[in-house]
Amino acid sequence: MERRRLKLYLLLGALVIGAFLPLLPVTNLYLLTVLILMLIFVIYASAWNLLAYSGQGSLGHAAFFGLGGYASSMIALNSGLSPCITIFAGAAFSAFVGLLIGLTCVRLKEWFLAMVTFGFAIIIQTVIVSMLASITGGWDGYAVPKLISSDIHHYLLWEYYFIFIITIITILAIRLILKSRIGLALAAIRENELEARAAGIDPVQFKLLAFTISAFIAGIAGGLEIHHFGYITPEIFGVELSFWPIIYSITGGLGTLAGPVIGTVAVSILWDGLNIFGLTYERYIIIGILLILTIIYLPRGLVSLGERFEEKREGVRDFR
Amino acid sequence: MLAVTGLNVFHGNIHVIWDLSLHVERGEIVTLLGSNGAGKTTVVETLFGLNRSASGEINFLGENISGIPAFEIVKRGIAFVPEKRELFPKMTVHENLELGAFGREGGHPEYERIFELFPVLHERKSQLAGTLSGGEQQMLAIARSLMAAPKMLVLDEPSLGLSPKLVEVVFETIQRLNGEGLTILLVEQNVRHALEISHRGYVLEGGRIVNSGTSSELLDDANVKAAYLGM
Repeated sequence: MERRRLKLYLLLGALVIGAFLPLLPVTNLYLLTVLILMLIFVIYASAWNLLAYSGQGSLGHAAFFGLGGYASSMIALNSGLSPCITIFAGAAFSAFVGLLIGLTCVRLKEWFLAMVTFGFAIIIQTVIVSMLASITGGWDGYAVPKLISSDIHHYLLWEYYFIFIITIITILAIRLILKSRIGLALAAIRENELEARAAGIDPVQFKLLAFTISAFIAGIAGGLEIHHFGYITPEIFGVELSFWPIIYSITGGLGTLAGPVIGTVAVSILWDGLNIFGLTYERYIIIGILLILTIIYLPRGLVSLGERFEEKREGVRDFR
Repeated sequence: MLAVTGLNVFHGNIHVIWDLSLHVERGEIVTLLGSNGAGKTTVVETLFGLNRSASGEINFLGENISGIPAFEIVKRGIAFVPEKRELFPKMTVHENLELGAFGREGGHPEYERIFELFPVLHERKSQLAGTLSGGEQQMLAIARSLMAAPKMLVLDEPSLGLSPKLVEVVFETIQRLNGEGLTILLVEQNVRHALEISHRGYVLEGGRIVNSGTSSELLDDANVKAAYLGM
């Protein structure tokens, strides 16, 4: 019970900080931008982590992030609708592609699965810069409407709160999924797929579901990012964008709800902090080393730090 | 209730089960006996859709169920307790039971009945399954399969790796479940014990049924005595 109360206080603290930080006098536009991107990546990492919860690892999640962005911006440009709406349509498109890719992936395991997802991200990027270059502008990309028009006073602040709310809804939705029958089935499939089948679970159906939901959420994150920047280029499908959610989730705690949140916040602060101190290139090395150290000494991520300090307890559940 | 006819199974190119036929009637305990490598586990895995058969028919309650995936078979009323009581070790006892009821359509999971049968599981409800003792894990594996409210229970070597005392407890539980009307197919190496609680038995050797009969017939059979009872 003590633990539970502590968790609740931490959660409330995080919400209060998240709600009031942008209003503090020290928060300038640069800091606000950092916070906005941090939230977008919390959503993105949570999406990747949901897939990992079902025992599936993706090395190409940028495919869904990018497709969400491209689809949303094209719909916004052609329809004149606000990006605040089109990001969901973009995410739906991303989910649809996720379902198709999932169909080829759900029967694959571990490295094969990882490589296929990696391959899909490259294929999609290539299609965008070559075959679809006439509408996508190739490598140059194109300008897209801002999430909140910059004519509006304090538009960045509005943008922050809009994204803040979506982040909260996303995490609540994932929590709901993990606590439901679906979450139980996904955990069972991850733990022992053969046994899950013997328990009456159709692994293909549930893995596909995880793939689709994960692609949807990643698509939302992608849409938010490009409408925040105001432009989109095929670099959105880059390897870096596929790896960040993995780094965030592993640092925070793989397969836990709080893991991607804590991991994204911690790594982002470090990343931008190092930049402020002029370590623009060195930070790649520093983050890399820290990632290795985390994997070796803290395999269950930052969320397990608390447990480390407690006395030896009986086996603690890795997930949830 | 269950009728298998002319079953042939291959592992790659190797013919492991040859023309196997057996049947289990409602309310019976039937034992499939055999030593290591006789093909017992292959037979039950094939029944349960975890292995593909090359030919033959598996009939359950008048329907051919061969080739149907395992998660569908559970819904039709056969529950399977696998060898080495494979549980979900990193999930709690309660979650394991919840998963047992996953394939059930309609009706409420009967936790009360299960906890009455296995009081120890109630005490350890929120403990991780992997931290239970061997005997408790076997109880959980059986309890979990019962959560699906099966018409027939298939147990693959439930006595494996248990102390003699616990083996006793497990067999008593099986007998009790049978007394409550559950049909049971038991796969065992512990020949004497298994035959003592069952009605009939089949002897599997090298992938073929070489002997069958009522339990008392088999217990008196000279070959069975020599090969499995060390007499």
